[in-house]
Amino acid sequence: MKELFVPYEIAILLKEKGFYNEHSWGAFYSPYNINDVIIENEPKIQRFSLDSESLKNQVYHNQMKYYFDCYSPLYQQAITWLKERHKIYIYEVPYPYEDRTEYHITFNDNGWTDVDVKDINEAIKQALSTIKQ
Amino acid sequence: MKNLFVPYELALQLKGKGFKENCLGFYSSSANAGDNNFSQHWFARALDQDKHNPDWVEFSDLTNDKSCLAPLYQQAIDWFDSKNILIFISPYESGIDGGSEITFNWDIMHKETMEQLATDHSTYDTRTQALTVAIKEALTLI
Repeated sequence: MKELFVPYEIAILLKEKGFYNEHSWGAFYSPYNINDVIIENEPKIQRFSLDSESLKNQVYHNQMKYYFDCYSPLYQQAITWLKERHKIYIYEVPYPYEDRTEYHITFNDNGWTDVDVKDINEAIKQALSTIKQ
Repeated sequence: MKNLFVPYELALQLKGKGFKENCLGFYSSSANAGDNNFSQHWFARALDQDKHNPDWVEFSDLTNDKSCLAPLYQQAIDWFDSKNILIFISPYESGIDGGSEITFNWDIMHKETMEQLATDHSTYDTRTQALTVAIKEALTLI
């Protein structure tokens, strides 16, 4: 089921761009040492829960303390948010004969602009990069 | 959140066709067609099960005829893909001057032969609407 959720690098970009969703089932956490300083070389962890609010609580894993970093939205939630909040459309374009899929991004930047990329994460990153803040 | 999951009527048909992927949601046995109340307890169990056992096989709670898993739209599309049925949702831009709009239609193709199995000349205001109709049609092909 993990593959339904965006990876950390996308989740943190979404957070920076103001992503909000009424319900999240996943979140990422950063590890901190006993002095409450983030441990940069330790990987973040991902947790799932039905309760969005409880996901914000700190957790312990392998005797380390982890603080909530950001929610981990479903791809479907991220794509819907881009469409509804920013009018940025991402579509899957399958090429079955070649066993590959591309992603088409359409956004309105003083006229409709189209971009094709080979990867869904790249598509979301490019879409987010067009959002001006 | 409602639009993330396929509606009850289609979820029940997917169950009938053998869909049993690990899901975030579950339509309770009290659900009627068109009723999108799914049990939140099931979210917790499914997620917890997933954490400890990726090969989630416990399906006994869904033996009630009216109960079924609530797949995400993406899960339904991926499941049809695994059956060699490709659902294409195509966007169309219209009304370029002063208020562009995007509408949608759908096609269903065989993944290996690329034979067109079904299509629809209607246009839909949202991708979700087009997908719902396409999934309903795709279910008749299995």
